[in-house]
Amino acid sequence: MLWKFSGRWSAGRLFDGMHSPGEAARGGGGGEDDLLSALPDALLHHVMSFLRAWEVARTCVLARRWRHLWASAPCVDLRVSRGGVHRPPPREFAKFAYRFLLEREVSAPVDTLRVLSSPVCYDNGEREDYSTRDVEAWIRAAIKRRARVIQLTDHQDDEVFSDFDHVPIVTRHLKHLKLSGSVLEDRKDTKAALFPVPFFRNFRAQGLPSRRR
Amino acid sequence: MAAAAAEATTDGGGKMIILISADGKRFEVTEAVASQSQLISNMIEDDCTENGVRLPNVDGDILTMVVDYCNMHAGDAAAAGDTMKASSTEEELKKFDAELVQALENPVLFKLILAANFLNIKSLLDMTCQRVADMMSGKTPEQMRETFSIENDFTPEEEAAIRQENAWAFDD
Repeated sequence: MLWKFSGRWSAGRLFDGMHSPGEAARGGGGGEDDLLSALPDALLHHVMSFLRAWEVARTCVLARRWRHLWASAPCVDLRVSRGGVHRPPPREFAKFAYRFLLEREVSAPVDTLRVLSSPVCYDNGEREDYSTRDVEAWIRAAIKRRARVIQLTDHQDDEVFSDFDHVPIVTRHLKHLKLSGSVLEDRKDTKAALFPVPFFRNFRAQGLPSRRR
Repeated sequence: MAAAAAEATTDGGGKMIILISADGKRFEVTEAVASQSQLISNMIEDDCTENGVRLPNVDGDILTMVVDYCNMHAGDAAAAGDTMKASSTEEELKKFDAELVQALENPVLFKLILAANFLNIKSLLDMTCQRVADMMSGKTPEQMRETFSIENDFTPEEEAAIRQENAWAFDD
């Protein structure tokens, strides 16, 4: 993997960070140290794994230290959500998602992809602007980038779920396939055929009808 | 003294080990508590904890919190067999974790992240990094800079160019 350093952080900072910034802060007065940017790349990437892709992407403008950091973040979270703690997703979401995957560092693996199924109609008639074909394309892209974990959750208003005929789900890198919600509701019996379960160390399907009702 | 303590056992029968912080504070904990740290767990396996475990990167005040955290969570594995007990402890743990992480001031939060990373305690690392992410979530870049005292070292021209180049990321 290609690591990009801006020069503001070096290996020594990991240990310095345990002492000097805290002491400076205890000393009080004046501006605080930027302890966040002082974290090593791997830890900033870990922080980013708890953010949505569109929140991760816009960190590029924070400072030099952050300029290219997002592009190698190993977790890509494309789960659209409205009204939570996260920023609302971009208006043209499909366009954003393709661009995000395209602009990522080519050599950086996608370790984890999180995505909701699609599409969905809202009460006001507004429609999610991505289709099942898009979701499939994103999963394919992640698998191509050696994804280890794919988490596919059904959108709360999703009615029809793809059978993912077009996704070459067999890969030696994929270790965890997490399907949750009603994703498998109608195809509990076929899941073994669709996904070669023995290939995965951890196959988790949550919210199946038998458990939920 | 450390060697003697290392041989001592608790009521639970677990072997005790001594953790020594950067500033020389000593913490006596059971192996079960300490082995939540993958780093220490490996050391226990390799039988090299007899004279105490020196943690030159972790200050005493941070190690106090880490030990508290590990003490609270040590019940996890033990209670796993007892479902009733597990569910009630789980509630308590969630409350403890939520209170712990909410109360953290910025410098302490980041020291705890580094300590959790160094000691390799995944649940503590996840919890503290999640807290930082929550503080970033929903914010504009300007608000993020303000929250974390991030110095914007771009010139206005550079920043404008980056926004232009990455306009797709700012389209909302």
